[in-house]
Amino acid sequence: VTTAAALSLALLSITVLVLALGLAIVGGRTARRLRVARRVKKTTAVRPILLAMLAQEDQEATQDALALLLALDKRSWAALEPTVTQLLGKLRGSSHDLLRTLVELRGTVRRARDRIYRLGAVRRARSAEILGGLEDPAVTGDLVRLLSDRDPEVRQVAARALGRSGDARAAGPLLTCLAEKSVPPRVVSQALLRLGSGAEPALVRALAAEDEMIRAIAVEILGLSSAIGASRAVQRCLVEDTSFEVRIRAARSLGRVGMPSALEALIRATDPEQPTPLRAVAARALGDLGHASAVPRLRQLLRDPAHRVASNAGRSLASLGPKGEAALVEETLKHDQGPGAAHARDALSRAHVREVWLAEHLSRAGEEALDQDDGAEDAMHPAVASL
Amino acid sequence: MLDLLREPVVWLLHIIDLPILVYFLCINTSYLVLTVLAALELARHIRRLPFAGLEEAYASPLTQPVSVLMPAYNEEVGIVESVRAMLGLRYPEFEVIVVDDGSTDGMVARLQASFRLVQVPRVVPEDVAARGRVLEVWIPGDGVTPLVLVRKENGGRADALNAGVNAAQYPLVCMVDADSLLDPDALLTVSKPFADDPLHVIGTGGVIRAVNGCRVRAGRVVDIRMPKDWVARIQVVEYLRAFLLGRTGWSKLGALPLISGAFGLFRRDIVVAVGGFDPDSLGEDFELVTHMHRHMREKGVRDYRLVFVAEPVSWTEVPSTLKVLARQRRRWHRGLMQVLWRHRVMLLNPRYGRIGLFALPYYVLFELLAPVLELFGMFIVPIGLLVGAVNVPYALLFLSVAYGYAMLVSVAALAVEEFSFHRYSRWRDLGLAIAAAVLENFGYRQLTCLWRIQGLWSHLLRKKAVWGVMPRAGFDTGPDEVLATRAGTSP
Repeated sequence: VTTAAALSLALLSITVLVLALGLAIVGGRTARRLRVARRVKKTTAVRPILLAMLAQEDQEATQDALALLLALDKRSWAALEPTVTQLLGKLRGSSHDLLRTLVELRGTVRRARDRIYRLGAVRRARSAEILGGLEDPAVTGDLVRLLSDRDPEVRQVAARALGRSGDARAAGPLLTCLAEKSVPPRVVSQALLRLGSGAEPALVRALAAEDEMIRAIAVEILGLSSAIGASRAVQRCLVEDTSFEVRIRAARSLGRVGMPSALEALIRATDPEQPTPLRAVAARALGDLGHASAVPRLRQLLRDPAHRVASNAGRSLASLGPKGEAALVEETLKHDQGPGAAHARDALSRAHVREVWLAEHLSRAGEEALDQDDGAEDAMHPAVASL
Repeated sequence: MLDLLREPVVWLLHIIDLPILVYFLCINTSYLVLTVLAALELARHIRRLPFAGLEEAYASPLTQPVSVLMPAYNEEVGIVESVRAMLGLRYPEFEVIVVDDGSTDGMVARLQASFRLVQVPRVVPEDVAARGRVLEVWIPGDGVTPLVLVRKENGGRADALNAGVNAAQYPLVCMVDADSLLDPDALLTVSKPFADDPLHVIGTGGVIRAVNGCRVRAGRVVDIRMPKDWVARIQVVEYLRAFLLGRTGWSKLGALPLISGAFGLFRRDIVVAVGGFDPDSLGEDFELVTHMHRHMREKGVRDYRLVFVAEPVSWTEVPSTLKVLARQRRRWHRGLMQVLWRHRVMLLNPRYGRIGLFALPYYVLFELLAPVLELFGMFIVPIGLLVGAVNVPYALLFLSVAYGYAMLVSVAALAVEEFSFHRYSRWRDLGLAIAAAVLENFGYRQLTCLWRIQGLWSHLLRKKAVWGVMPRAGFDTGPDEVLATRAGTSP
């Protein structure tokens, strides 16, 4: 009897819960739809004003639209504000300046600065996102403070926002984040990359950091930002650094920077006693460097037993112009059955598929142009005849 | 005869009555707990979505490139659509590798014609052992479209994936089904954990949902609807409960035991280190993930992470007939048994952390053995009724509680979906989903139990494992798309 009573009670509870959940689903959906409809109605009414401002057809119309947006009631602005802050992070030039003026005058920036000290990680992150959209060095201090926020995602948003600010002063604090491991390396890397050449001195200094991760990221960003001035320092990393990861990234960076002085160091990095991943990256970097003196070494590497090394050597030769291609062809002819020939054929096919396609398209486009010319001439014939 | 049976049946029912009830309560409570954990995680995820930094990742040269692996066998119907969808994904650098596992239909010809493929002498390394020999490699004639077609001898899905891993040139490999359609930002989202925590994340998985009934345009799911048949409708609810919420919950607990083969992203070096996919396994995705856990733990690495990401969706065609569904469920359960047996050393072994102490024992108790107990109940209750050993009102009450609780879990899952992603926007679809959550308990559930036991049985009898073919209906593309396909439009 006790079990049956317990079961009856359980069944009753289950029924009540199922019904409650069902009602919650229906109620939640209805409420959401009403909310969305209200927001759409409000936004639809004021969005044309925003577009008129951004279109900037003439100064007077732009100023009028700005004035209208500044005079919007609180509810209408609340509906439009998310669109404006989203556009702020996407637009550039005078449109961005106009949006910045708008959010400053409407108090969005002030509120965002206040909220970075509030409870609620989502609010702080949203505020950091708005401040980052301003791309204004004046908010660097606020964003740097958020780099030590207790919530990891707020720190990430702040790091990204600092990258968008373009303020080179942010490079130091961002590198510190790496040392403290408080922000994911990929986020810091992207932010440092966005800071541009202003961050170069800080990055070169970071090449001497104790932390392997900091050196690896600094060397990679220097390569991605084509920091020619840092080429020597990057070469030193490739040759002298104790970290295998840093050396790999240094090899890749040297290829990207493209200074011929890196040739010797990269060739040495492909020596058999070096670790295979480093040799593979160095073989590819030799192709990126674009110096034909690398051809003999790359041809040797075609026969390397490590697949990645041989494959990258082939691709590098294919990118080195006629000399590289000649080496690949010679390899296929002289050592037809050898492993080098297989990689050479692979590389040649990769390069030639594109060339053949381009040639076909150019010839087809040429034929079509000729046909059109013929057509034009044919069309003119009666007129010419009438003359 | 019936009188003779009565006494032992009464005795048996008396013995198992309470344990079975407790078992049912435990299994459904565990689902409910996972659902609640998932709800918390989803609420957090959705609130933070606006500043997830996906746009930045899309524009960044630092985003790790991905090789998308699509093993395909006789997928003539939907392959071109699927490949187009893959090529249209928003991701800075990726390649799509279609591995033709010795197809005998017109799949290869369709790909060759649609993408104007040309054969190239590509050297494919043997980083992981593949049984079927690679025969040919084809790439698009424009030399730019990042597509590779690897043709190999038939060897099964796992073997095809191994060939794909070998052909992959990027550090992350993403495995998808050939009939899957990914959301446009799916790769960006599923790779986010790798960017957030590059030193520890070794694999991530995305959500699988049923594409049946949805409208597809240009390889994108543009109108989400419930399927037209009840078999697929029930699977929508099932996938929601098990794939979306169950795995989000396990991921939150830091013990994700399975990333679905229909959409998983892994570090290539770790896949190579564990020897790739097991070609003898019928649950090669479960085997890979369990093997990765085992490998990392045995290497002494404890702070690695396998993460389930609730947002990116892989749309896949689910079986719409009982015959195909039966084959799928037998294979799944047999695969589950194979993997648990192969990695039995991990069970309740503290060396393997949460996965060994909680997740795998849970899978033994509540996934592997659940159909056995349920089927036992399905046999013993009618026998008890026949011999008059069962109190009918009590039995009905018992069944109502057991299945009512299961229904509650499904409705809770629907509620979480409604408050998070609310993908099914029509009221009719919502009604159908709730109806499916109810109907699942009348027939469907019992049939799946039976098929799962058949899978278990065939493993115990060591019957030859067969992957089987799932007939595809193709996607509901609408008239415009059909015209585009007939005209041979290339991407």
